[in-house]
Amino acid sequence: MATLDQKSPNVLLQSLCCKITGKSEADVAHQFQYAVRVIGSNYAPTIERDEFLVSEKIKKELLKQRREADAALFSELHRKLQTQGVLKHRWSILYLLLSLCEDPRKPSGRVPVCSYGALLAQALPRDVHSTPFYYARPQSLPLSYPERSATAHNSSMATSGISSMGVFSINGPGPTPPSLLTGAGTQAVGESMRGSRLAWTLPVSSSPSGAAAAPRPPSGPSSSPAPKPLQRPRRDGDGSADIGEAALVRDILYVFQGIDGKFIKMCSPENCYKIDSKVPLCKSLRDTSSRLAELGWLHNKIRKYTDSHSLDRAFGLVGQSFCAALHQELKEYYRLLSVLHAQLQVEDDQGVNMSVDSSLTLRRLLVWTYDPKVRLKTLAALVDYCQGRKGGELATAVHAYGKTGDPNMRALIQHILGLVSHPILNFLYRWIYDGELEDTYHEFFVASDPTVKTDRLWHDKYSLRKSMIPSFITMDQARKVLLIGKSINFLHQVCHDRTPPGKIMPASKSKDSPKDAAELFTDLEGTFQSKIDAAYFETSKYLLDVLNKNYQLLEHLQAMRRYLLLGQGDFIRHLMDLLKPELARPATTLYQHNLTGILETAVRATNAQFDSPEILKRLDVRLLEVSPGDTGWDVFSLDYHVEGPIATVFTRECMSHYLRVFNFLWRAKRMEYILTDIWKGQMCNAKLLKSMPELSGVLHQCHVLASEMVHFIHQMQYYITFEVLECSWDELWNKVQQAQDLDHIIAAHDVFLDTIISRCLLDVNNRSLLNQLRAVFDQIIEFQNAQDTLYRSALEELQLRIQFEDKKRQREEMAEWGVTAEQEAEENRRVQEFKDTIPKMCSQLRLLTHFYQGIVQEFLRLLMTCSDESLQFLSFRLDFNEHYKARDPRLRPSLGATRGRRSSNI
Amino acid sequence: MASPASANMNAVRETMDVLLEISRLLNTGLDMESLSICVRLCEQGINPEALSSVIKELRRASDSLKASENSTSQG
Repeated sequence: MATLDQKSPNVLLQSLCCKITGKSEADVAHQFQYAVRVIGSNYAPTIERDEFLVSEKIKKELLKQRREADAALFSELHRKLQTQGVLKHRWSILYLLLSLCEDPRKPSGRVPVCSYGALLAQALPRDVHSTPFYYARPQSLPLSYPERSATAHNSSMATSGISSMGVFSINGPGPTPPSLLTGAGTQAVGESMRGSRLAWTLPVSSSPSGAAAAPRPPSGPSSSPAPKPLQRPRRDGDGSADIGEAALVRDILYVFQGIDGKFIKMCSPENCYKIDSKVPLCKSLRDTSSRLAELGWLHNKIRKYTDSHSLDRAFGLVGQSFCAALHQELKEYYRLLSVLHAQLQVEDDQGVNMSVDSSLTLRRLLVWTYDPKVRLKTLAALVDYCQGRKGGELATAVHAYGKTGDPNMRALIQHILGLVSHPILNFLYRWIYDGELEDTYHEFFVASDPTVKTDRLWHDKYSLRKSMIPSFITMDQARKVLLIGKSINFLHQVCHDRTPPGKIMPASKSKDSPKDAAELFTDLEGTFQSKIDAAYFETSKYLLDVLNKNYQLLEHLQAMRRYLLLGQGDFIRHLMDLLKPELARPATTLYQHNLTGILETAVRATNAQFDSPEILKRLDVRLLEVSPGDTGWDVFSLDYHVEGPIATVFTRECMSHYLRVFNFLWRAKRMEYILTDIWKGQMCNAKLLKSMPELSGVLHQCHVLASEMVHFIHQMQYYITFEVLECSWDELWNKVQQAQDLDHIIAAHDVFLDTIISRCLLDVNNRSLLNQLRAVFDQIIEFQNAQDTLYRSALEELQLRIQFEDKKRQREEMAEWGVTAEQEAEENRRVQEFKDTIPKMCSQLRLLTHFYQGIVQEFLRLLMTCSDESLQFLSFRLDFNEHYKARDPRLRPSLGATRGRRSSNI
Repeated sequence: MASPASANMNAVRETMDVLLEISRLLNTGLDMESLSICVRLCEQGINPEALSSVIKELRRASDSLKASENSTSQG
């Protein structure tokens, strides 16, 4: 401070001029005079002598230049200045720095300079000649005591030459040395320069008082004390009241943007804005500020969400749309803040004189920010609810918030939902019209697995992501959407159909363009549903047409029925006749090419030859794995080759099901074939063996057992052929004719196969029944073997007897004895031996019958326990005359229960 | 006498450093000596707005003078 006081303002000003212009004191005379004139003027009422306001302006300037870090640094430096307390006029210095920082103010700065010059020119003449103004000088500049003494000397110099010379000589030692050092060296020039400086100094100190006293010269002394008391109370009053609330208003406007104010700061541990308790503030202002600060808190929450997710590419397009919607709302909010800031700026420019009625107050801010606060509160709640969500899930969350009774809130949510659902709608349209899925961030509800091959495209490649289905899209709609795109991809990749999608659905696509996303989704029950339905029906119909016409799907389905399910009766019968010699051999001796040749022969000899070559070339023979003791009958199987699009319906699993059913049907068919042979044998041999009466009992037994077996097999064949195959096939055919999409056909086909397998006793539940049925089949084979042995023995015996009679007749014709005693004894012994074997045959047949009937009874008992109604009806038909029930008491009460159940059913 | 004087000197120097930092932050273009002179003038009650106008005018005059010198040397 001592150092500062040592030099006068003029000396400092001259030094400043020399420093800035880089010239000597002699050269800057003109600039110095100008500087003295400007500094001397005191006509700048716009200056607000408030350090806080100036510092806030500086921060705002830095923020305007997007230098937040510098603003923070300035705050820190400013705080350091305040703590040091060395400077008395911090506001003045800060204001100077701020002014020098503002380049746009340079042009406007010239105008005050010109005004100052004109004003000074007017004031100068009076100042020189008016002595009473001497009293005004110390009042206007109370601190400049040296100035007063200088002025006194100046006035005395004007009156007397000798006295003035003396004064100059007294002042000489002070300024003379620098003058001599920098001067040109001429004494006269030096004297004239000093005189000029002194002449300009006089008007500087006099002109303010002159201007002040000009209107009222007589009352100068009396008017001087009046302004001071007026200024002081007004300034103090305005300062305390306005600084309090005005400062808070400024702080609040910063808080609204998420920036800490001077008094109101974010308290991180508690996550809320707080005013330091040390700050002297009445409770009402504190409460109002806290309520207003909530708006800043809400803004920070939303801003934090948008800032963190805007840079997150994995957030997806739906998420980005959500951030864009939030950003739109924040932009409206910022517009309000800019209006408030503009009003605050106007108040700053007009200073304290501005009317109090239109100034910003905390209470007024409360009223004006009520609506924005409601909106921001809704958005903040929405942001909370949408945390961690993306894609369709995010749309669901937004949609849930639209279910409210508040019209304003509902309109806001509807607007956001329109923006958020726009990407979903784009995904949807690309998928249902082009079959393309560009879902980089997995936010659409249709998922694609790139690793799946084309043969499993329909089943495995595309699926629904249930979490990503928006709540305003139903599950049925989502499934249809999945089917539409899947059908298009199936047509392109599997069916190789390159028809442009526009041709499949020309009408739907043209209707799409004028519709807006928000409008479309709000009209979910009408336009959207009809659009989905139209795309679904047209795409699915086109796909089915391609499959039926280009790939004969229905023809292949019928071929399965005719060949693998033994529907072509004549072909199967002829095939069995041709295969019989081959299949009777052990399985290890079979060759596939032999069987293939026989298959082709059978095809050409029956109605199968008229089938399409496309179908016949797929028909083939397959040999199953050989087990020890297997014959050809056990390992033979027909096969059907499927590839291309129809492999989607006839999958590998389906084909294995077909082979299992074929194997079962083939065995049953073989039983029927064997029994036919048995019957033929009986019919042929009955007449031949009439001459052997001792065989009548045995033959009768054979006939009875054969009849039982024929009845059983016929009932089983009827059950299999009509109740299982024909009924299931009829259902399948109806469903296929009515099917709207490929999934319907696949589902119907799967149901068909499941039903067949279940009712043919081929599933897990009916394993015991199947084993029992196989035991019946084995008994039939045993019976065939036994009967063949019997007939072979009987025919042999018959042949011998005929030979014996012939020989005897020949001898009698030669006039000899017919037989010798020895020959007759031999014949009688042989006949007796044969007759002795007959009881053995009878007992063997009786055993066989016993075993067979036991197995059948067990089969019937198992049928009783089945829940399948058709199987229960089968048991009724198998034992229609209650023959087995009479033999087994266990069947009697069960049958009664069954009869009772049947009555209740009727 | 020595310790209070040295403490005062240190405080003054520290204050000037802070002001210089602020000046640099705001890109005012003032060096240490110019800033020191301005601070003294403000402390004596000079109007800072008038002072900033003077400084701007001085800079403009200095720039125009340098420009004329360059043109003269080129000519």
